[in-house]
Amino acid sequence: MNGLVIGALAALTMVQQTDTILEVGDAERLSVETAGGSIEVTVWDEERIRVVAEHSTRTYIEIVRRRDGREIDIEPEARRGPANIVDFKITIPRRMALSLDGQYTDIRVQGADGEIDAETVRGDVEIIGGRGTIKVESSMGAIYVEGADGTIELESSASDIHVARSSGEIYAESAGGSIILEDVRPRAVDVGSTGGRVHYDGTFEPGGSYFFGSHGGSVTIVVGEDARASFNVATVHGSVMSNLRGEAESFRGGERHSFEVGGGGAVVEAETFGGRIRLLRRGSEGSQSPVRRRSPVRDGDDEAVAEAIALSSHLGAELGAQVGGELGAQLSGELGARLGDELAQRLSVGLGYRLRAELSQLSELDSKTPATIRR
Amino acid sequence: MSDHISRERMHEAMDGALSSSERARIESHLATCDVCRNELARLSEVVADLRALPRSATPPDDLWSGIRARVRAAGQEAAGEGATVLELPARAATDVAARERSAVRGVRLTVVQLAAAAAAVALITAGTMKLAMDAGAPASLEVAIEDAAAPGGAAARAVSFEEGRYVDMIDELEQILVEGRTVLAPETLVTIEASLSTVDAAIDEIETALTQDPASDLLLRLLTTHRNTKLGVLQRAAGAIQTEI
Repeated sequence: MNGLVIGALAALTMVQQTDTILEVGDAERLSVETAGGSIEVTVWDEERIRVVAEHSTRTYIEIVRRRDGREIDIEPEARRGPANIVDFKITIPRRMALSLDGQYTDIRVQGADGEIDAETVRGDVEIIGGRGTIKVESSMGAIYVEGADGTIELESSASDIHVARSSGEIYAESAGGSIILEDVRPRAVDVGSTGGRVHYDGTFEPGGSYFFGSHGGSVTIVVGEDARASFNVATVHGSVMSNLRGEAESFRGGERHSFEVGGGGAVVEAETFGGRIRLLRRGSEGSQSPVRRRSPVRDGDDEAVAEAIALSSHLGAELGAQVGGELGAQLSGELGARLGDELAQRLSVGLGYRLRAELSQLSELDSKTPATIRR
Repeated sequence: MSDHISRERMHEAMDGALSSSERARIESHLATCDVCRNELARLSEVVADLRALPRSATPPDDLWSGIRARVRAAGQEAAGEGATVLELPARAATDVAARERSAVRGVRLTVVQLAAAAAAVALITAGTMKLAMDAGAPASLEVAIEDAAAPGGAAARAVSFEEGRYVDMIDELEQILVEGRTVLAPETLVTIEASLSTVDAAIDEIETALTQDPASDLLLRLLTTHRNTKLGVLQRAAGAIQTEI
């Protein structure tokens, strides 16, 4: 049944696949830029790059070597109208640096050891592994980093940031989302959220510095038995709760409070305006890390559902492009042509992405519904 | 149309990022194609406009040492004089002024203007972030507070010193958002505005608290943090607008 649906969708959208392999040569960096869809990067031991892309028949993938061959750029172009949703699966040598840029684009990188710079407006970003500098910005999407070691700089305007099993230096900022650092071993941390909560469960390295801040959300710092650190915490109108000295102690805001475990070592600071600060021994009540909200499509078992969603979004994008193009064709002159292009671009990417988001959400709801009810 | 030189390739040509063979191919095409030659001339004008933007947007190299010196001097002075009055940011007045400026202009920015403004913003924020991130330090203001002999007075002066530049940066970015909001998808705009609303509410709360306790280093640190967050949200919004156009 699934195969039938996917086949029908593929026929409707006239989706085609580009699959090409190129020699890396002198290239040190790969740049990918796309308006919508997804960019998934994995690594292999070959000095070649494989680019697999699903896109409409109007769209083609342009691959250009720049800067004397030191950089390879990949970007969708269209024979007529705008290039819209493209799903990339790219395999690169582990050492290559990456610049990934999208608007309505989900980004996933696994195992790359070069510098990673990923930026998207609407879309989730997931980085698994990685060494060196990792910079991620997403205006609206969630950011997840796991198993990375390096300088990790993460910024989201509205969504959650989750870092797990990573080390190095971690800097994270979210205006509206929460920041979760779980099972990490960094030597420096500076994280802050305005509206969300902050949760840290990791080690404190000797001489390391750690700062956690939130305006209205809680800050929870989980401390292991073998930790050696000085804690300096302050809140304006919130409260402080600690069980580092055994019994739980609570304090009101307005004063700075200091605690020391293991004779000091690392310097840990936490500050809030109205949020609660909690210093908790690992294993005590409330010290468990919040569960990450995982993407149902990426992590789900049903590949067919993921494929159907991707194809549906291509269908939406193609429909949008055609409707926009037709509307533009009704207008005359250069202005009309420009408006047509603009409409086609907006409707195409917007409709495609919207369809993908809605279907993903439905899929997530469906996966949470007990099978008996689903039937 | 597909035979013409793409805009991206023109940018690369202007950046000198093309190989000699590609450059030769483009030059050969330009010699015979009026459309591409005119487009290249137009793009060159845009680039020239961008380069003509006031370079004062980039903080001078000695800015941080200047701040440090001022704060130290202020600290020594404050130790002798007592508390210094904190000049709180006139947010409401600033917002009204920004709205008035917007109304006076009354027209949408052109793509060139928007790009130029975004480029200016990038210059400003890059410089500011460099200051903040240098030597792994937190925000420059926080360092200033820690360095000061008399935290309250010196910190207040540091905030005052930074105030003008911060307001300018926020003004620029908010203007880009006002002028460019129509190019953003509605849900993107809603999210950006919700984020800004969250940060603005936080900043308002802190500023209100500062009127009661102007020497609080905690409040000043929080103020700096959330101002930086607001800059980040606006910078990403400007980036999203720039991407859309």
